[in-house]
Amino acid sequence: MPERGHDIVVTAQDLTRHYEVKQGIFSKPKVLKALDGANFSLASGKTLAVVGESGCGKSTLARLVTMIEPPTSGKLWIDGKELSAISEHQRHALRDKVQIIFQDPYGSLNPRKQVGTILEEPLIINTAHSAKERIVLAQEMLERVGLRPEHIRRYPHMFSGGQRQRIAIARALMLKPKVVVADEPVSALDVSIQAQVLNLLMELQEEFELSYLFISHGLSVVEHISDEVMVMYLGKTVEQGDRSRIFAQPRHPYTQALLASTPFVDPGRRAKRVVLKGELPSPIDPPSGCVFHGRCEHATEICKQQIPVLKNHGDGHMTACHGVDEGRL
Amino acid sequence: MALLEIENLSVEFDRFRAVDNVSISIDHGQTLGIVGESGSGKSVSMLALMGLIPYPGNILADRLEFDQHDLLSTTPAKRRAITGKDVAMIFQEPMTSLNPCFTAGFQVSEALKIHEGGNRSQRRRRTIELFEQVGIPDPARRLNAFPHQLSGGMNQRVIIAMAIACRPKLLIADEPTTALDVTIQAQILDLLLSLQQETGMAMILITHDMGVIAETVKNVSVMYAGQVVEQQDVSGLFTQPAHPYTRALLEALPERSRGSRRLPTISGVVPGPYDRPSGCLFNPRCNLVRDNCRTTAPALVKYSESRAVRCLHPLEPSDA
Repeated sequence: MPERGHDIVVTAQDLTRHYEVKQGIFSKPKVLKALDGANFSLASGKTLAVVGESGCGKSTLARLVTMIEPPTSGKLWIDGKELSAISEHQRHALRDKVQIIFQDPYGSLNPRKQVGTILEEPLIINTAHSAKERIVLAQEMLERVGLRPEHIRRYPHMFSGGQRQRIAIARALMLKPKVVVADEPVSALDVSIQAQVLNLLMELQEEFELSYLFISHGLSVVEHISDEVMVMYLGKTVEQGDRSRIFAQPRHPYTQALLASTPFVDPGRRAKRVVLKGELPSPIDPPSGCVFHGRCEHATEICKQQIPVLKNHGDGHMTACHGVDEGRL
Repeated sequence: MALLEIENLSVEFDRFRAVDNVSISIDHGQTLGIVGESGSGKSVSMLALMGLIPYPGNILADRLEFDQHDLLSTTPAKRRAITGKDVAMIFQEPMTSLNPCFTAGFQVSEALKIHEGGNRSQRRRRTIELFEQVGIPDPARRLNAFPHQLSGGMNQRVIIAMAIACRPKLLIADEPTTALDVTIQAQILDLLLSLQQETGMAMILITHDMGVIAETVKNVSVMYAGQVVEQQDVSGLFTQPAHPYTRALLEALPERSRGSRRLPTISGVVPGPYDRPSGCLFNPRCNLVRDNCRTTAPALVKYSESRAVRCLHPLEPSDA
């Protein structure tokens, strides 16, 4: 399934990442399935949003796509190249295609470095630009993200949270990447600043034909920015499809609960709150069958025994739910 | 007679006014939301009420009355007895507001020991009862759990149990769900509301999330740069905001921008200690600014019992 169209930039097939968790010196380590089989493809200029609560594997997915960690199994194509099939050297060359923006702009910028140094660092490592060219490029990028060129000699503490996030975005774009992984880029920001940063992200997407892997738990932000949505729960994809479909007709009970739990301002949109009982189970000992069955009000016997598979229900809207398969939901 | 009556409360840190002439009043059994961006003074004003402002901070107020006790003139010991028992506060980070060295049960019964007395077994029974009330499963066993053994949602429940232990008349919840996941957030908000209705206590909810405000409280105060800029009941605020700042905040929400890709934004940032503008504090960011906004500081004008606006040119209902 690599290269469906020529403009697919990232494809993941059964992408899996397991961690071994030590249980003491004498017992066997247990396996934590942080990410258990993710499938998606991301076209250039499009946004795939990954939604889920903490511990659902969305940040693990970000680490795999940015090549910070190799997957335990499964295949990942970036820019048409399958990662496990190419040499370390070629993989290294691919790294400037994928960049990342982190959640906390206070923690992701080195407080001891000037903004210019922060922005030039990726160029020093990956390109052969001269010092003068690097400064020009950094200044251009600062202007592009809405800061002033003279800010290049300032330190991160001299900026507000929104401005810092702009610097983090500028740093991610210095190498002209094709894919930007945005790990909760606006959840640490105030509402008015959040809107500015979202607008900036969308302008940059149009200008540079960027693809975003947008990780977030804020559903209203996701609804605004994404083209496709992937809802995850405990390492597994439970629902995936077109944004408008997922938001208009969520089929998986977890997606429905997630939407119903999100507080909306407009009274008309406010669904009757389906309060999910209980909490996320431990990923080390996940429940048998459907991992969601303990919190699902529609769960039956089959949900406790069989693991549901992600099935296409027309137009690429996929759910992993026995209830949907049987036509109950 | 209102339960809590705050008139012209200001908090200064080295000549910087973090809170500027804030007046708030709340009756028994009411819910009030305070909404604002970071640095708007919403938390500091409530900390001032609790007497929790650290040293260089200076609290000035015309009136600070809780349940007919004047908190300005009472001795610190007496004030603690009032604010510890009848006013309770919940903070944002459940993980850091519990002491990691003591069990959850110990920390809840500590509050009971100081304010309610009773012997060990009575306190233990009451703690189990409280844990049940806040929906902690298997409460007797959880008494001996340390905070790191509980999830964020469970820790927040422990803190809520601690807050309602002495049956407070006023509960102040400072961003109680910001650090939690959405499904847990819904659980905690429902819990707070049902407790509020059960016990008839008043509740002040501080948050930056407009959605949370819309779904939980009756009256809202919007704060900006230390000032209350608008007070309204919740339905009026979301349909007919009177202050340009409130309207801009609502427009900046992604969920309000059906169809259009670009979100309307508020340019600039909240003014810090050293760049306070003259006149109306919002004037550099306001898109309806007129000449006198830059020179004249507006006062909070009361239009009706529940509606007040700090703006020289408030929006008419039809503009909103």
